Amino acid sequence: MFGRYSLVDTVLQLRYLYLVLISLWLTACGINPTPPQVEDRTTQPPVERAGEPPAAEVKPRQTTSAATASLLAAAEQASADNQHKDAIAYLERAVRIEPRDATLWLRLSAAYLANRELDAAAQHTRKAIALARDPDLQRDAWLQLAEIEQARGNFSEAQALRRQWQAVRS
Amino acid sequence: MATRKSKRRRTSATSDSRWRLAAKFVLYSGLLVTLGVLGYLVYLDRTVTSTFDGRRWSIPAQVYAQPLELHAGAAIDRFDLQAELQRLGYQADANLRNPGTYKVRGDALQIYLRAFQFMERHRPSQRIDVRFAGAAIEAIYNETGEVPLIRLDPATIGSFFPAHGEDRLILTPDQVPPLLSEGLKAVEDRNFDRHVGFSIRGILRALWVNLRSGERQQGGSTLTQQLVKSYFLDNRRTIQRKLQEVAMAVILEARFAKEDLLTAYINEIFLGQNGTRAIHGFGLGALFYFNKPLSELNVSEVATMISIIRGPSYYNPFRYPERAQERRDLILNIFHRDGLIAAEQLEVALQQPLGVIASPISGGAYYPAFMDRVRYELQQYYDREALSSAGLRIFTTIQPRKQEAVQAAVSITLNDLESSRNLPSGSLQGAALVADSQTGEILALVGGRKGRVDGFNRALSARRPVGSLIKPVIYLSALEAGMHLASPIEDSAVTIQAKLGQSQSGEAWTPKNFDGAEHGSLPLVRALAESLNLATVNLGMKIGLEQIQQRFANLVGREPANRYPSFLLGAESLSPVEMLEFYGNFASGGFRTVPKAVIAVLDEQGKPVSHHPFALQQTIQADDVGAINRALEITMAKGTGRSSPYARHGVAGKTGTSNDNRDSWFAGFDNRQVAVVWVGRDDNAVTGLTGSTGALRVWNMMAARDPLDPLQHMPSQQLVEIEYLTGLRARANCADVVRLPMTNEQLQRLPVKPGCGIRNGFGGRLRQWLGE
Repeated sequence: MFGRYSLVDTVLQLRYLYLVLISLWLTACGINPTPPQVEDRTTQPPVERAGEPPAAEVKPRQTTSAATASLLAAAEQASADNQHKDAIAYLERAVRIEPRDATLWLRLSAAYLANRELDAAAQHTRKAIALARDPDLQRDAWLQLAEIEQARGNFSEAQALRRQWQAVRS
Repeated sequence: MATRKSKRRRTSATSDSRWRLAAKFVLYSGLLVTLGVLGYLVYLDRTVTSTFDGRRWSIPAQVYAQPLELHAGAAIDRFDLQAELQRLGYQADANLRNPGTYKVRGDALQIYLRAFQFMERHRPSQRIDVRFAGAAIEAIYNETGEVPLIRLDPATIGSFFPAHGEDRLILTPDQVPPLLSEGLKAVEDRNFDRHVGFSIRGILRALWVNLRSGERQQGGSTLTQQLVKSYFLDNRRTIQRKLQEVAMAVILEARFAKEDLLTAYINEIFLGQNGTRAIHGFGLGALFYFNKPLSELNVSEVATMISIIRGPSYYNPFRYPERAQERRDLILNIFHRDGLIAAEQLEVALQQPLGVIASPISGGAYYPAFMDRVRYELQQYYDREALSSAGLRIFTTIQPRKQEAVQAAVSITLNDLESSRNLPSGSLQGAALVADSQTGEILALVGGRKGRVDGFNRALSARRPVGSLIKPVIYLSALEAGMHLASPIEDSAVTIQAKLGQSQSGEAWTPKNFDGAEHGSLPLVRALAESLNLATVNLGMKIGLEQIQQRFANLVGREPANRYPSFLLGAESLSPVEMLEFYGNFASGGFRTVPKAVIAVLDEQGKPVSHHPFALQQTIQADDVGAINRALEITMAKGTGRSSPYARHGVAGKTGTSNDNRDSWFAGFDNRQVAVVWVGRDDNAVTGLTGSTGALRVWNMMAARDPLDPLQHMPSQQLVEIEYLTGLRARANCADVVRLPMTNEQLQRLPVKPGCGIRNGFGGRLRQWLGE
């Protein structure tokens, strides 16, 4: 599933890059090479979009934290009452409102885990991992996957995931 | 029979026995007739009873659209919300007296929401106050304070009822307004509470009136007889028919309570025709004529509906408003005469206009193409019987506003294309689907040019060659085999020999580029963006057809039908909904999400029967899907999608054209939605349209009506500037560059464009410097 480059590799590679950039900056006069044209994708839009004012009106992006928070609270209550199906229904409603919110997907995964639907739990966690931008959230998601693997009886995988992600500090 | 003369000539003994025989004959045949009549009555009884019971309890499944969610920040302005309320049949009312009304107050909208039984809970009716800030909701309040989230009631988009386009909204006795039941009796059947199914006086009076005038003026039918007629009989007026009708009415009366009969009548009676759809019952009738539930009708509207019974086409209030109003006024006067309404009520009601909605069930949501998908998904769980009788309530994913916009985009663009290209009017057909890219839920589904026509559903059933829309799976396989978007590939002539057993016709296959040219060595990203056939076939043969087909099967959940290399150029037929599933893998960021239309099914009491949750399966590793999506974004910005006015708005997409311009395809996605459009002809003839001159134009209009949400990129990926034409590392000041995701390792091996001031092998030397 994880292919050739795990996220650890990527993170390590990025750290490596920062290290490179800092050392480059410090030793700029000494070596004077051209720094690589590298940027973080989140901070700058791709060049194709720049300078082209949108022809259509772009409506404001939805900010729905209060709306989805109310559904999260309802889901928490349902989970506390062991009504996992209800919790899933609340959380799916929240996802419809904010489909790229990794927290909601992770919470949805937890509801499946509580309901012992382990395949669905695993897939929803992977979705959360794919969408998570916050490193803490990403770590939490990997650790939740470890828990799901544990529940599936894949103890060594669970162990490996824990070893890999518990070390990542928040 | 023998004559008397002949009898006399014979002996008395013979005569005697003959008489006895005759008497016996009469007796037995009398008995037989009686038995026959009794048998017939038993038969009638069985038929009428079982039909009545069946009809009374067969409540068709109601199908609901996705409700509109209201919350601070929701991108909807006051006018759009007002339009949405009108679509749901909410009426403007300055006093906000009843549920189902709204009122504009300055920049805010006050709404008296109806009660509704949602999936998770019952939402009581309540007043809310919605404030806006620009094109979005600022805040929502109710009596208790600020509300973070609340939804409108969902639109009813249809129901399942056995065959013949008949459709009802069943009411229980307590849902029937008293004025309607009392009014019906007053107007149609004054003795209803006393008679036994028919009324001799009624029949005689009708006979007398009809004889005197020489034509049929009065029916003289009781409500029970009308009910029987509606169940079983056609409109032929013969004595047998009348007798049968009376017999059945008497049986019904003997078997069932008056209240049940009246309720059945209210649910059954024919009230008009909407295209192919017969309007039966007051529940549906109220929606059809007034676009609101029966319980919200006022006195005048109840009278109007009762007036229609006598002749749904003669008293059609849309076509003959004067006639209808005259009869309504007559009925209002009967109401008053019988003490059902007070004098003041009569005055008010007489002053009111008919108030029927100009375009019946206009927004009133009837989307047969989407309903096909709903039916398809439910077939796996419910049989026809349950769907059409168990009173299920089905919650679906469709968004009526979006559905209408996509339908309009298809219809209008096809008209434009035909007139601008001198194609025969009506020759083109089209299909389009829009889904939430993360959940796979279908938000709009268009099966043809005419949205209200329940015909061939191209979105679900038309499997057509997909052309270049297949290509992303080849480039994905290349990335997974270790290449990257700047890796070079030869766009040069290729011939695949028959002896390899790889050609369908048994002859050598020599594909061509669209422009007939060869473009030499170029980066993968450009080969995909410009949809170069030679480069794609070369790449595909290098990676291996089998591996690519395996990948295709993973992504769409079925094996390809074409096992030959022509698969690489899209000689593989998919329906638009399958194509949606294919592109969903990319749009979702690497997950296969089967397109779905049903969210949940509730029983009549509102208890959940089944929940159809999101179903997803990771299919593509994050870096690879990120790279493909980047390439598809560049396809829009610089490649075959560049003619779109939205090409540079952060959307990814791919055009496709099948052989000889028969099928025109487009698939594209932004941050939230994935869409697929097909344009072609039902007879599979040549249209002259390519993906970008046909289907893409439909999508352009869809984008114009539904603002885009630009793609966001994976945070983990770094972007490197690469010369678009050559794939060399470059900078914006020295070349036409695109930014591609790249690992450090790939970056280090990448050749540099001379004169850009980038020194070769930088990464390698740096590693050395760091002691690796």
